[in-house]
Amino acid sequence: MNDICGRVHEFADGELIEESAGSFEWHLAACSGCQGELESILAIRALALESLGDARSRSVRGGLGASAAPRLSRAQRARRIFVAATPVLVAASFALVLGLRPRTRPDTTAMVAQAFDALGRRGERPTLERLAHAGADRHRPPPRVMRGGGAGKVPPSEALLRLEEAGDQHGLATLHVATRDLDRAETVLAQLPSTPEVENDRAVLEMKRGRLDAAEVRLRGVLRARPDQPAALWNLALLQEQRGDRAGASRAFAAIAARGEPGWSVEARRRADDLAAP
Amino acid sequence: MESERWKDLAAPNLLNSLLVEARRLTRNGADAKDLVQDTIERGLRHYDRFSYGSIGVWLSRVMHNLFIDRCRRRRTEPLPLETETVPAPPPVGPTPHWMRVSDEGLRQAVAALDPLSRDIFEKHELEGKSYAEIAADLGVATATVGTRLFRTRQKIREFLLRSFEQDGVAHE
Repeated sequence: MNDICGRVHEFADGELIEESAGSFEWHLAACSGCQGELESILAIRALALESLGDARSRSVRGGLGASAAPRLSRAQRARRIFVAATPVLVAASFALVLGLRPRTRPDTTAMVAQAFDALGRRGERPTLERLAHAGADRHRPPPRVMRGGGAGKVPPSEALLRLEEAGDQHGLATLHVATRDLDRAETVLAQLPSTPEVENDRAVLEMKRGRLDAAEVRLRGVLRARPDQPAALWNLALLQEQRGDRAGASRAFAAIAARGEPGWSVEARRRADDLAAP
Repeated sequence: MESERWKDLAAPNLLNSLLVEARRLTRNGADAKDLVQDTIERGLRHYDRFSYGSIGVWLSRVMHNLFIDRCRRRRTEPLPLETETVPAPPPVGPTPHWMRVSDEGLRQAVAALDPLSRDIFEKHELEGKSYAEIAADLGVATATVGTRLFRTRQKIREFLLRSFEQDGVAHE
């Protein structure tokens, strides 16, 4: 067993950052031990959903009369489920086979970047916070209005449609956050596996809702997993500023400035200096 | 009438569960849909091999095998970003006959857990929450969530293995 084998649970839970997950996949292809472990993790999860999830559903649906249904054995249920589910599965399969979306995922970075730019005013970024999708993470000048230039705007419907078709849910969430459509953004983000980037954007949602404690928990979680995640560093500094910790925020922005990221570094230096001023 | 109820309640849940699992594995929506599509196609093609037990577990095994195939194909591409060492299998022990696990068996295994582990397990596996979300909910460290989940799965597996041994069920 080597160190990477110990990451199979994090991989199965969607908790590895993209680079690590890619490396783990490469390892998994040749490691029979990890393949067996992954299979058992998926089996336990499927069993839990079926056994315990059913129990939860039954308790919720008790008032609708579901509890009056006869108790079936697992085998009986399995047969009934499959027989009943087959038309749905076939329909779903055909819908997928008939090409409702492309087999290979197009690069949506430029698409998100273009839509994100369109939501800002006069070339400004639409949010003061830093969103982690690659299309939104390029530096643009900060918005001059408090709520951000994207508030109240509507993302281009063509962009939303194309992102949906491409399966880029993170891109969709990015545009919803940028327009301050927080409920939609939350719904989409909730469906995604947790990665540092997604978790950062969930933290931005919390910040926009004024839930700074929850945002801080998420951001610190991101930085424990990836200490140099640039968007999380930025947002944590902003959060410190919003809490009134001017000295702490100034130090945090100064550290970001020292990283030398194009655009972000200059803005961070200016913010650090402003916050340090008496 | 009853089959209609199952169609309404079970089939969408099944597809949704497969999609959530596929998203975790592939980390993007389009690949996840491809994987679910392939899983359903293969499941329908080989349904005669499914004779008993949980359809969810059976399809999860189909999905697992397809995903491993995909990883193997990708391995031919120069990918690794971290240093790779010679792989050696971890000790996972015998694989129980997952298809034979009863609802009651799993409930007993989960009921035997300590309250914090059970809470973490249910929040993760049933509610689909991330480590960070669970940590925030329960006021524990994110690392604690991962460690507890790892140990919980071991305990559940050991519990089920013991019950199989008591029932005289052979292992793979």
